[in-house]
Amino acid sequence: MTDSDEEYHDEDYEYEYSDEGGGTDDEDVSMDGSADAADAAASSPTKCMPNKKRPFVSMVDRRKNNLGDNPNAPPQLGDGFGIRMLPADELKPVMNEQIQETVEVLGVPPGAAAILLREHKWAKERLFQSFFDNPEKIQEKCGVLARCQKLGDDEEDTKAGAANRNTRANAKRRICEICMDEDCFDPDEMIAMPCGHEFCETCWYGYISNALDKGPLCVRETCPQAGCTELITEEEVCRAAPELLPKFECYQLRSFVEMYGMTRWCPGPGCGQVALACGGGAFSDIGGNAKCNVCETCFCLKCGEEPHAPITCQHLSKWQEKCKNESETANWILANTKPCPKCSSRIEKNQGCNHMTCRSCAHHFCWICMGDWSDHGANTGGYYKCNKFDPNSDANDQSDAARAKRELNRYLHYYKRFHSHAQAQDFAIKSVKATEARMILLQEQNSDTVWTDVEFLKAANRQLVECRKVLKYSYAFAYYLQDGDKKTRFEYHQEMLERFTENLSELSEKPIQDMNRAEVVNQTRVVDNFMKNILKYVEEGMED
Amino acid sequence: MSGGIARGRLMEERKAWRKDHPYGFHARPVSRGDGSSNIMLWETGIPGKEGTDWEGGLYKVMLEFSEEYPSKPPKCKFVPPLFHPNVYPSGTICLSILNEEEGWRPAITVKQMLLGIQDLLDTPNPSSPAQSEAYNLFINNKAEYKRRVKAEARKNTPST
Repeated sequence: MTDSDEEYHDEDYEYEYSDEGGGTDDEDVSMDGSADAADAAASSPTKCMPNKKRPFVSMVDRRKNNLGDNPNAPPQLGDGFGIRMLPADELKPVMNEQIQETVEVLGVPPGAAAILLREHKWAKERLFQSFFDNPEKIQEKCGVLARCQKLGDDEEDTKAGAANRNTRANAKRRICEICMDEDCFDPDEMIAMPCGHEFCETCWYGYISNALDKGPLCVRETCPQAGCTELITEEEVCRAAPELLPKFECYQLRSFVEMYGMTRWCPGPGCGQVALACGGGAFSDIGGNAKCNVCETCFCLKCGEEPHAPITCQHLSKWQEKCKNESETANWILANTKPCPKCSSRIEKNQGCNHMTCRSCAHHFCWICMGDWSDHGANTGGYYKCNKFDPNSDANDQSDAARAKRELNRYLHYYKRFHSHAQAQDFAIKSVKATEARMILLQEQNSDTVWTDVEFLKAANRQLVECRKVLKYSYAFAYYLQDGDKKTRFEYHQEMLERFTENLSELSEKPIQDMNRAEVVNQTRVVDNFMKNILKYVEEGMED
Repeated sequence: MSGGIARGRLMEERKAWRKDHPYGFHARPVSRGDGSSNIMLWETGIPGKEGTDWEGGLYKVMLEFSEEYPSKPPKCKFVPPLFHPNVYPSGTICLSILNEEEGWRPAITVKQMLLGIQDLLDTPNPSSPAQSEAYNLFINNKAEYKRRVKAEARKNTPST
């Protein structure tokens, strides 16, 4: 516990700046960042990439070894699909690799390559394709036309040209069209965009710092000239405001993480880690689950939600949308009334068990499935029939109202169970924490029960959290499932998991002295099997 | 951060305007009445283009500059408010080059702003309506819209 805690703080401190794009906390980064930038500016004023290139070469090798772009490499087990959690900072080499490859293929400067990639959501192949169809059109659309054309000039020619321009320009002082300062400026006090529009250093600084104040959008800032669509890059930032470069690069990286198809921010509150997938498989509908190595948040790589097997991301989002729209109605109906299945009197259940007796007609029924209570009971195993929804009741009425009612009832059936497992999951999470507290207490007391004696309980509660989660999503999943053999078999798996989960839940809630440890351990194992079975069943396409 | 340059830039804008400005326009800082003038608030006049329904009118627009100018655009307002689809009931003008989030650039000059507003008069942008009356007539009843614009031009004809 203490070890991992320390690790957490170390990492957290080191990469803290990535949280909010480095509003105020980029001191430690800016130290070496600006030093590098200053170096770069001193040695070659037009190039500001060397601090990016240096780590790049070594990182290529590392990536080849560790991440394996090789499609024939065996899938990495453990993290399932080869998902790595990294501090955002370590994504830089990945980003630079994409940029470098684009530079080589398209023959454009790095700054332009980064923008071209970003405007194509970092889908290299798509960019290459449309670029080769019509380079100028793409360059213009992305705001890098002048930057790309500039590189086309012969290097020496540019130097000579620049020298010429300088001598010519020396004769005449320049006007900055932002401050319009009447004293004008020496040419070396002006900074020009590739498009030729130039402004004084002070105005450039103001323009860039103002752009950074706008936040993430600063990476799409254009030339200050009216109507000009050329985008500014780290090149201008580096020349005009070197101390703001780390912040700008931070936003660039952030934009990369958000748009690159293989990355996702850890959704843990305040966590700055990034999940990086090493193969497309991690983004499949179910499967790509990541666990943050810093804050321990588990999430689906594709949609960022809590891992949600067996349901797919697409159906989950549909389900959530539906629940959001209908939850008011649903909650009210669920919380308040149900009609008696026989006489339709509205019944409010405020306490007690599921065996209901209608005050109006004395009908006995089950509050869960609204079926006759005589069908229920331990001897028939009937209670657990309540996980099946029978749409055939009242099926003959084809009126719109009846159909709408049936649809609502069908939804409520699944929503109710989804909701109650969600609540049970929260309860189990609390139990895990309570058990942990108890373990620490026992360790300190050093009484006749030692903390390892309750470790089985923690395992059981953790298992319960997982099972509740799967059960929860299994009801959302079933809502979208067509009736048929597959559904029947799915419901069988669901029923088994539910029954044994309830069992374990009951066992683990007993007072500690009454608890049968062997039984809990055994049930934990059994229920784990049922959970794996249902997931495997879905994963394998629900074939028998 | 570049707040310090607002006044200097406006002085230069004033100078440049004096040297050369488009025909029929006027623009100057508002006089405080004690001989001095407020460089941060300009009163301008924009003529309707010849050959359009706006012809003959001279429309008064106030430009309110902030210390953040030219990082941020000035607030431009028709006084009194104008009958036009892209003018808010308060008189504030809805035009992309005057919007910080859209087309505003620090290098846009007062001259470019005023010419842009003149352009807007006869080419309203139906995708960003700012007042319902002018917008509805513009969309649903072109004849009545035309009549109202001409009335607006007559109302704003300089007395001389």
